[in-house]
Amino acid sequence: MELDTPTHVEATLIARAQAQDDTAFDQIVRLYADRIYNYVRRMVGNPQDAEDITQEVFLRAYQGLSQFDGRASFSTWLFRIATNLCIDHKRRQNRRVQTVPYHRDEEDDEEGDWEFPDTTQPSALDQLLSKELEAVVEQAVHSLSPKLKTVLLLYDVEGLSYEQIAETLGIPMGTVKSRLFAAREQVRKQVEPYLRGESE
Amino acid sequence: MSCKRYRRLLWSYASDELRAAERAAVEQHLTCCAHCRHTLQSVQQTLQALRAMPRHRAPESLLARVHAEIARQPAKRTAVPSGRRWMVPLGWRWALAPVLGVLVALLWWWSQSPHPTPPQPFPEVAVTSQEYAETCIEMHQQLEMADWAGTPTANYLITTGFTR
Repeated sequence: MELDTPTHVEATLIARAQAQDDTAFDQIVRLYADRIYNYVRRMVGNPQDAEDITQEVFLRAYQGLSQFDGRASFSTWLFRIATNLCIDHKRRQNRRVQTVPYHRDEEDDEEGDWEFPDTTQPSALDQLLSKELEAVVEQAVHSLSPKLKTVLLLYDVEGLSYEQIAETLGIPMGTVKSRLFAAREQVRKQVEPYLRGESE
Repeated sequence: MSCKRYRRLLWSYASDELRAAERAAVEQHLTCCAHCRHTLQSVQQTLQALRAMPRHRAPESLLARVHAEIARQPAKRTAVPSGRRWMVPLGWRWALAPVLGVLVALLWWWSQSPHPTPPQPFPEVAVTSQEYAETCIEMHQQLEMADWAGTPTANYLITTGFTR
């Protein structure tokens, strides 16, 4: 049934929310909260800041809902708001402190906070994916500049297309591709020594 | 084609995003280049590691906070009846009339008088050396891609000013 497709459900919810149905907006929040929080969390690295920014994303979306005209997809629109807020946060942080070490506290390791991707075919790398490798990759991603990190997270983690990322960030698709290449190469160079050590 | 240029394709190869001809070219290169084979291995492992990163879930407390914050904001989205929006007490309207008259006269006088615009300084943009270096690398990579992508379109040449 076409009417049951996620796009149709989303469009119906948005239309209801635009007609000032706050219950519909609550459902939109539940629909996108995990994706936006995961993205923001990796962008800023700190759980408390990530919560504050995610809250602000949905608040701004609520306030600007009447201006959402459906030309871009709703998720693209939310990611655009989130990206702008994360970059603003980073700028404010840079003014205060020059470098901030990656914040990884104990609550990160609680099982309830994590949702592992469903991998039906375990590969050799799955065995290697220890907590140590996870930390190396996290650190490599965290050390990227916001410009590169945004593209990498949106493409490789959130699964947006090149077109959607170009639209989200307001940059040409060629720039998206070159930033993605630069970001992946930086991560690879940091992860490679660890992988080499594991395979020896 | 040099290894450096194949290296860019290895990521698309590992993600299965290449067209048949490009894929065949990469595979042929891999048969005779040990360095690129080694790079492909680490590209595949890095991609897998990135895609296997555990996802953070939004805590329930956050959803409750968002809900509460939205519940506190009904006034912003409540439409103001159009007839009442500019409602000003009658006495105030008479008091504002001369002020408005003076403002209109000033605006008219300002639009008539010549006023040369001073040269605008460039806006100050804080650019770190890392950002500057990244921008240079990005431009270089894009030019390299354009150079490699066969004949650039007329539109590309116009928008980029790339004339090589």
